Amino acid sequence: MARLIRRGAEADILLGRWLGEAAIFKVRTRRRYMIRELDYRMRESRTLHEAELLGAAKQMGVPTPLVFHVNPSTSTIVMQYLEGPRLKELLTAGDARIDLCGTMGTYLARLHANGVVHGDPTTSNFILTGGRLAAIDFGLSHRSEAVEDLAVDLHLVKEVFHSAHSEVSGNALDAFKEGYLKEMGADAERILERVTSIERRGRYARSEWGGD
Amino acid sequence: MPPERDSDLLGLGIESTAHTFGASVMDSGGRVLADCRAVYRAPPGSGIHPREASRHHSEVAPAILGDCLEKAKVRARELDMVAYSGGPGLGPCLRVGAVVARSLSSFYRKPLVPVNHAIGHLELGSLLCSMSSPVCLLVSGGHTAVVVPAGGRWRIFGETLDITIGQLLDQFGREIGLASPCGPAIEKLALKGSHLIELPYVVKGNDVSYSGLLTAAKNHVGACANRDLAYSIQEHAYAMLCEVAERALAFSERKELLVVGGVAANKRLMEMIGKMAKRQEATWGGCPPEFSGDCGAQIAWAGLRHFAAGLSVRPSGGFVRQSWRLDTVDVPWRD
Repeated sequence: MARLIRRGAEADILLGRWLGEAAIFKVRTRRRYMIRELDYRMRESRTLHEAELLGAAKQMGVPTPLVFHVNPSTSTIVMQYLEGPRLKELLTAGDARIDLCGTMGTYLARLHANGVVHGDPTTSNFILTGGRLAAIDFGLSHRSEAVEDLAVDLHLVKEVFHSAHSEVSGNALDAFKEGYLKEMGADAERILERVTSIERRGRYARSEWGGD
Repeated sequence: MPPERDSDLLGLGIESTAHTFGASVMDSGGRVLADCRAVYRAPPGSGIHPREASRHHSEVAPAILGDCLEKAKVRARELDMVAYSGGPGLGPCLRVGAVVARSLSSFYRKPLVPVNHAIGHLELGSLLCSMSSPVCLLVSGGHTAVVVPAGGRWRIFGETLDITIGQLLDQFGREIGLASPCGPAIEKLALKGSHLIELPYVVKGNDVSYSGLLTAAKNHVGACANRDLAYSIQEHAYAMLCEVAERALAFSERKELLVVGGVAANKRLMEMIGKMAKRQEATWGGCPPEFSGDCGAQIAWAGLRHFAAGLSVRPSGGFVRQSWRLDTVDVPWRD
């Protein structure tokens, strides 16, 4: 049957089969550190959001795994198995795939232009599969067109490049920005400005977009 | 205390960031020879007034310093360096510690080391919990962040987008008439609560946001029992912290989790952290309560590490910075 291939922060990722095809079973298990009511509320809403937006993202031109089946009562999503390395593993110094950060920017812009916030745009949520980058993990995604929400998404990207990929963060961020700007067009300026203001609001901060 | 000090450096650390004036002597082997402090208490229902707190610090400084050196059985001239908390913090409070440190440094001709207060929490916690390269959850009145050491810096993996966990607890506490710091009183009150009031749970990627939670909780005051509100605030706010810390563990694939800062003294938070770490098969630890809050030892120890890496300044360069992000500080011993 399905075997555990990864234990994420909020879900177990199992690899199994669904109607003869290799499939991922993403199971949001009970988090025992949370009281039951809170845990239940969160698991149910995130499972439903994720299933809905995985499908919606495809319509917007962002490759995502196909959803085969959703079971809110066990907070399980069964989806297509995308085999390949995560962007996170492709950004280690040496032969870092900086170009893929540009694709990540393009994808995020497509979601944003259609009023979807990814919510967790970290480099472990983009997989290179069959030569193409795909986005996964829409558990924290939601629909919004508010500049603030879109800008927070970009702030999160910056944060992950700076903290987890510090050796390549400058180039990675430039490539990301380029991809994002190209796709987003004129609207991008306002969003980038907001990123700067979000960062100024941060604890003891004085930073600017693109530098530190 | 250890008689053979030949190979060890002796450092004095002075802390005066916010409510606490502290002094500590440590040696470079990581032993705390003395740690003394006095805490300014704000009147009930109000926060720390920077002027009042700094006045408190100036008044207690000579006694705390004398007490510390006496307990450590160290004379000022035997010290190898003097470290002080250079920020971030309340300007008037920081200046008291800096003045004391600069005076000692110039009078006794000792190297002076400005220490980032947050780095102090992180380094002392790592030392006391014997963790080499942990994912750290820094939770206090001044900070709420998940940080990871890499490439000569402590890197911010996630943090609060607005107020800190300490500010959430303090500002709610003041609303119901408690005195800052309100954490311990809220923890006590929460033990009597059992009814969960639904409050905003805001996790964005690896970041958290508490301002909506605070506003919602304040709006419930009067209509709901304070004990239930305290309980609900704790359950929501700490679950958010556990979630982002768990995300950092899963992402970084590290297996050590350290909790530092004043809120690490909260038993409910640490109970939840324990359950979460177990799920991630990580070892976990909280800074021992006597050192989790602000103290001179955090400054002494981080100061010694900076000093060993050749980082010190002249007394004329001993500034304070009210805003000083921890991820801008070079920590060459953490590559």
